[in-house]
Amino acid sequence: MTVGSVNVALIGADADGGDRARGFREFVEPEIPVLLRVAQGLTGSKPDAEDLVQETLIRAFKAIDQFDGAYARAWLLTILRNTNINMNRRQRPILLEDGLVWDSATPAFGTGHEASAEETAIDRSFSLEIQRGLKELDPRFREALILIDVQGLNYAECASVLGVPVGTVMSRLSRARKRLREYLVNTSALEGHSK
Amino acid sequence: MMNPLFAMRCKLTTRRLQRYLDMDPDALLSEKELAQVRSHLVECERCTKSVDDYRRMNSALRRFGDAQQPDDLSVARLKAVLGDLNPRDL
Repeated sequence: MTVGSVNVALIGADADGGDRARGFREFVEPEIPVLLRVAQGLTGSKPDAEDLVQETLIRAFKAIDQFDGAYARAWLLTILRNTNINMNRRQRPILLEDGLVWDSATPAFGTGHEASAEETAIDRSFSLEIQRGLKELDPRFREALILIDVQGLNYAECASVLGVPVGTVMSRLSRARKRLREYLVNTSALEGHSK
Repeated sequence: MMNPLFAMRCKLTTRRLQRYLDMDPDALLSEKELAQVRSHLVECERCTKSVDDYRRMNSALRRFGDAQQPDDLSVARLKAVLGDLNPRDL
């Protein structure tokens, strides 16, 4: 069976050890950047995030028999979450990286033109308003929003990280977006920001 | 005063809006629901404004994600960890 580009037979119990290690590398390697981003959100520090992902990879390798070949990322994110809890880290809410500001130098997808000084100023101000709005949110709502809208996880993957059902993710996400939008409407940030 | 049928469609669309925007495999709208949302958006300025606002927010939030990519050295070190995994540990 092939899942994505991964031949699951390579990691099955019938495969020999060397093949299983190769198969495991094949499906885990593309997920490392996502695991690191999520780990950084969970730990709040780059070195701690790297330690957490390293431990996650080792645990996932040892638990390869429990992997059914589907939803590799969600499976790895569940292990990441449990590893973080088992490492007895202080549980902290997931936040955006400190001091993160984008402006027109990091253009949105599809904006191919050079930004004017005015556009850059509007972009910068909008990014600051979004960060302020995020801080106002209930941490449970903010986590779902950051994992899905900033880090690009899908509902099931987000549910794996938070350890809650998909329905809970959907409800928290919906509330988070609604409240962030209300904040941006109240501060008139959405009026000034270009599409 | 808003036509009650129109108000009901508005309420239904608001409830389905996040699923419409996300198209997540775990919560896809049915063909019928999708058609209802689309046809309501054609006639409702308020719901269209909501969609527009949510898309602008999403685009901005994605850019935060783009701006916080993990550094290449961390990724390389973790790839090396994968390379060192020993099948005897299985």
